[in-house]
Amino acid sequence: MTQLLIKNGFVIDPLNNIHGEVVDIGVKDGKIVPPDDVDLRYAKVIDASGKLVVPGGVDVHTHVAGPKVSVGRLLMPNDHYKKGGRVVAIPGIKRSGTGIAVPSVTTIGYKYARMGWTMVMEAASPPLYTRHTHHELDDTPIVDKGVNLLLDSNWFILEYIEQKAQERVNAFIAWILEATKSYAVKLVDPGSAEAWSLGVATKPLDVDEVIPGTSVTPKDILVALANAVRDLKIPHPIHVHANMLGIPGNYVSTINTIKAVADIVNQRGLSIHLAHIQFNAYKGDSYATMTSGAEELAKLINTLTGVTFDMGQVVFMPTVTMTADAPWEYVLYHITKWKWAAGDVENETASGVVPYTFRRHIYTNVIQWGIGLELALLVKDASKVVISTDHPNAGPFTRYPQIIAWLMSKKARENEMKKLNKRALKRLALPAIDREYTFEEFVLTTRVAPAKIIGVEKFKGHLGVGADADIAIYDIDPRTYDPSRDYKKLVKAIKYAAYTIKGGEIVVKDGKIVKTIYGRTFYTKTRTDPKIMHEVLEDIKSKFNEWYTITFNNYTILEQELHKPYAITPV
Amino acid sequence: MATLILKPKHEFTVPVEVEKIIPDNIAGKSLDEVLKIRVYEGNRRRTLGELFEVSGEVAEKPAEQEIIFQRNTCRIRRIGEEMSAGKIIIEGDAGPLAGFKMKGGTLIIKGNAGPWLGAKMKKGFIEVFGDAEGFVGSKLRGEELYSGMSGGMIVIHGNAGREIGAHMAGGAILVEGNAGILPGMHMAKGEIMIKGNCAGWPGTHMIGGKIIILGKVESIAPSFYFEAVKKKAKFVKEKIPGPFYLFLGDVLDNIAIPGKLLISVKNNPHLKYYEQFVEEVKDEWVEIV
Amino acid sequence: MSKTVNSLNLILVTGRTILQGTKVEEKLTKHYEEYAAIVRMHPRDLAKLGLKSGDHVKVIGPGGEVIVKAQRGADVPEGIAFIPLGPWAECVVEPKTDSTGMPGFKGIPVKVVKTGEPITSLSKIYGYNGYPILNLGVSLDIEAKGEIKRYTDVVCPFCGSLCDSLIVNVYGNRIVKVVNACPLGMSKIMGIYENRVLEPRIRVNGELVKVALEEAIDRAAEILVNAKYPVLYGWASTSVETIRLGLELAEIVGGVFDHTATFCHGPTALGFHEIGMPKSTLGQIKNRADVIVYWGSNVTEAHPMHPSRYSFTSIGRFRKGRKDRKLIVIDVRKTGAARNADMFIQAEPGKDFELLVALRLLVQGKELEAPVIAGVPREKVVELAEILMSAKFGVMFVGVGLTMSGAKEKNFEELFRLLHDLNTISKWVVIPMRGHFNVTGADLVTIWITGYPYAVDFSRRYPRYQPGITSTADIFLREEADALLNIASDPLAHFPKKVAEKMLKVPIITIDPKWSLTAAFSEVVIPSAFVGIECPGTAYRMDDVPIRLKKIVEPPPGVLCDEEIVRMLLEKVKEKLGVKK
Repeated sequence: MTQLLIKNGFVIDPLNNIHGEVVDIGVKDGKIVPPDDVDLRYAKVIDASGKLVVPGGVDVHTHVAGPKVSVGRLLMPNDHYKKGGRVVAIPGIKRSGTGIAVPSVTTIGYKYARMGWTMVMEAASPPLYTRHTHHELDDTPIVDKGVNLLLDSNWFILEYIEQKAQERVNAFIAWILEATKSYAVKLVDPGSAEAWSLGVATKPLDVDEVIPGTSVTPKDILVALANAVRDLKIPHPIHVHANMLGIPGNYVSTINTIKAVADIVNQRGLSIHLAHIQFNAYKGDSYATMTSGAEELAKLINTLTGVTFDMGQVVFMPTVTMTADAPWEYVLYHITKWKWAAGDVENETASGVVPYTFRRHIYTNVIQWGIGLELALLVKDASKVVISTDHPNAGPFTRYPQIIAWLMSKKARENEMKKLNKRALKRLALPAIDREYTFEEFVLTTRVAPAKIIGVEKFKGHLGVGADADIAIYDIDPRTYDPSRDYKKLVKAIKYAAYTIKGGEIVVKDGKIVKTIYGRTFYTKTRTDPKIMHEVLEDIKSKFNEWYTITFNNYTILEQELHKPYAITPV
Repeated sequence: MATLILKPKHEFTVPVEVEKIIPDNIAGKSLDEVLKIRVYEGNRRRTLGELFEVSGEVAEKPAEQEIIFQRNTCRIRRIGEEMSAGKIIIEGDAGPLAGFKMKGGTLIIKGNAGPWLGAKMKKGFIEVFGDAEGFVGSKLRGEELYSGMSGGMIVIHGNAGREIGAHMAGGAILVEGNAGILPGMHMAKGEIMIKGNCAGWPGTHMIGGKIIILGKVESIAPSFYFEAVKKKAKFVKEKIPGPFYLFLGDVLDNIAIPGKLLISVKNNPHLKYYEQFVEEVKDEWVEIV
Repeated sequence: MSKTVNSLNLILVTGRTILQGTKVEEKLTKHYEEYAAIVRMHPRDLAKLGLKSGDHVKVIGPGGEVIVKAQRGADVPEGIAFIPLGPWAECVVEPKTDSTGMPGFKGIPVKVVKTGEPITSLSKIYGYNGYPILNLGVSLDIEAKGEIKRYTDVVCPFCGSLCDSLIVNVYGNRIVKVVNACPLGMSKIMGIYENRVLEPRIRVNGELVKVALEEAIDRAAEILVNAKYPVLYGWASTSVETIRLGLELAEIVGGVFDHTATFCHGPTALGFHEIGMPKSTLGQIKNRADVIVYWGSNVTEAHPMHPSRYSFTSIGRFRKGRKDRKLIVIDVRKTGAARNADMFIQAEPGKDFELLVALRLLVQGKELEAPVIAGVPREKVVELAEILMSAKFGVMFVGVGLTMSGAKEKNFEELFRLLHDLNTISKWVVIPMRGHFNVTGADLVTIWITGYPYAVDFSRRYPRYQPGITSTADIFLREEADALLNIASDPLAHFPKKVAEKMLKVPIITIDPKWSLTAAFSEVVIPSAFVGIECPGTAYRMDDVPIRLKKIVEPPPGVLCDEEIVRMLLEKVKEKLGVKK
């Protein structure tokens, strides 16, 4: 296997206390080793003088694989006709691909790698369909991956919560994470999928309202699942798309969501990760007049240590929204009046896919744009913040370099604001915010924070000995380059990494894919009381035949069905 | 006009794509450079000189360039794609996507044309002496509503296939023969005239524009409401004698100013049923949108 | 005694029947001719022609003419002629696709003429003029001896229902019993011993001679590498794992990757592109659906287990069986399910589009002026609309009756718009009744790897798509392909004859467990084993649920699984093209 020696690079590696200095990095057998351990007779030497060397990027929330992503692809052939998404095959080096907002799996892997990202977490997968999610992830080149499993509206979970049987909830989650080879527990507008099945979900569901057809509230679900994650020592805290997403005034529900679980803290001190928080930070009572709830939310998050979030940052371009929040997507369809696809999953969850274009002259879109940035800039600790666009909901992930520029350069923000709806700008705090992210904060928010949240910081998000050799080298030198003024250079440098190294293999050079390899799929294997597990399994089997349409045995995904499974057993 | 003549060197047995062989790309080049222009024969990359015998002259400006494709087959795709000036003549059939996204100039097809003729056309003139297939002047599947043809004129002397002028936002299409089902589906603006028969359901989901049919229409979709009998109609400013049944629609699409269907009274006795819905036969010109 | 006529103009509808389905893999047998070389007509139409069951008739249509046996069909409406899917139907149907990729299989005007001529033989249809078509299929003689094993949760590899609770008893390496399967699944699983291909063959001087597998792979790779526009077709009856490799192969050889959806449910995807649709998994239907509509789908003959496992007779959490549901069937003829229905709507062939528009008007609360729509009186349409609007959870199961006739892809755009309208009043979903057991998988794999569902052109080294241009039927009608790879399918028998005639002009590579019509005319034949019986693999059900199929018995010696064969072919092609590993 390749050995590498990366010399003279300017390294930022906060987890190892390296805050910007020249450090040589050694790579051997896919791991980072002391530079002296590298055999120079066989190693490739990369001269990274004048370049920034950081761990590979990690995306904590992105919709890249699974049934609703492919629904999005099928819904938007016009996205694939566009030349900008075209990836031409080079036999032996790379496969072909299409798509900008809903790319094919090949394009996804390559474009993440090209930016220096080496791990992605699929944001939401329904258990019955997770085999499909794994198929797509297996075909996604280069990056390592994991699956967030949709569990909030699952009939078994709802029953056990109604019975107030926390240990049964725990056992069920331990079982289903392993049975579907998934990594973490995902909630999307908790309870709304059940309401949607009853056809009554025209009214959005708030945290303390009883879910139609049940006797539980979304808060009950939040608490039960947070407890389970803590009891089972699942590395990732509950990953929550909060109730009332997209509705003006929802920042209050978001605060209530946080407060419901803020003191249920896992062994890493984390209680909740809020997905694409921008969509849940609205103040006001109508789209035409809504304003930013970022200040209130940032204030709360600044006082709590266990709360993290990803931005869900808007970019102004045509994109596709897709979530398990079927009722919200239905509302959006009535606003856009163009295309809508929905998919219910028996006993488990639902989904909706609606194309949408964010526009610079539309008041609401500009407020949304401002909110994402305000949240990232008003929260003091950048390790609570992860960059995301909730790809593709607020925009394609390929726009991350632009978002990084907005965070690191006030001038970049001002240049964008010149083109935006002025009435909206007047209502935002953003124009007055001077803060610019430092290079270290850039590394925190794109590498360290997501690695810690996911719980893989042992081997991702840092460049210390023993870490996976996932490294990004960018053609910028923080000692001499100030992105504050010339931010366009930053965008280009991140968009086209000088080198991306994945598991010790050079996969990107000068912004071009030079090798196709496939990464691992992380999943969680956790243990619980065997007696309770047995009880729960008997209960599941007794109802499976009536509730489901496949057999219990066929439901489980076997390890050999995944190309490169990697089990994490929490200690 | 300087004329360049292209004659296939051998019979094409697989699709040949010639999207770069337009006056815009040829005018002002040397003959040598022209011979090197990239064309595709199936999955093989070729040059123009490899596939065609090239004779004639290269013009200085695109507007002065005429290109003649001799001995064509239905396998040549994307002829005249995005051309903005000059003239292309095909002395035979043309394959799919002829005149795709055309921005100006003239395209003449002496034989038949494949599907998506003149799709997304902005300006220019296309004339087909034989038949055309489906989706003339339309858009590709899944693209935005009303992103079909937005200007220019297409004349088909023979028959045409389904959904001609679908998603049209301007321009005009004339079919002298018969047309397939659903002409003008999702039409927003523009004019279509079919001199022959129409296989059915013209204008469904129209939100504007006008379709005139002189022959027999198998059936009208129930979402069109009968409005009046008109003595005459206008197509591209010319008077067309009627009388015509005027239908307005599409009711399902909730529009303020509806699209218009003008269907020949004489050739559609089966539509007489609708006459009961009006009190008297009016005698007016139809206003042009 | 009334006058009889010599010829009658009827509307042709082709489709599946159970009997035709059980013999679909034994096309060169006499049984198949009995089940597929027939035309079913209403007794009054037979009488008009002075015919009785068993007499021969000539059917003349836009694709050509054929002679078949007349059969009395009381379920066939007057004015309609029904011929089961197969080579005889393909002689007559409309080969042109009207730019949709889908030939005209239903609603085709034909003329039926009394005749004394013999039934057109397969050999005559495929240009062999009397000589028997080569049949190299052999029976497998496997003794039922040795260990007895009982396999449960077996997944049936026949149709899109993907029933997964089969129980299979195996004695040694021989399947002796299958439980919980319908006649179609049963005949497939028990029938793996008939008509097998056991050795690879290549054509040498006109003869198909036995060769080692490596030589067959080499010849196949040579054909693909030399081709300038090869079509790689089939795929719907093999595993996801194989399809992935097939896409890589198509990309490397710069050809067109297409599968059976191109003339089956492709139009559903084409409608979806314009507007999307509300869908759900089958369990939602079992548990919650109170109004169930089958539109253009002959469920009892094409998906016999569907009603009891998922739909109107299933027992779910909140709905128990037939009594808790309303069943509506909309079709051109009274199919099996129609006899069981609370409401049967007989629509005129090819006119479903009008019915859909009319229903939308009513659901939107607008006026419907026409007295008759698609042959259905307005009052009945109003009644239907009222039932649809009053549903708590409604589902439309749609079949090829809508994809193959009339407005084809636009039927789906309109249907999905109707469902969007209905969802403002009640809750509705639609599930397409997919035919082959993994055609949904073929769609999905193609979608996630290329962005497009089928008919993907790789000739410029990146995916391009537009059915009507890149679809198999159109490519062959324009005579644009110069090679055909056929895997797990029988295109010569199922495409219109005019398309098949063009296919016969190019070298064909067939990979199939059984000897098929297409195998008889191939340059290279490679035997493969059955997914779900002799090979493991994953498939997707009609509602997109992925299920893992198992291996129950060993394949015949020397016969590999599709996945391995395509992998070998891919490696050989890469070698010939000098692609580095």
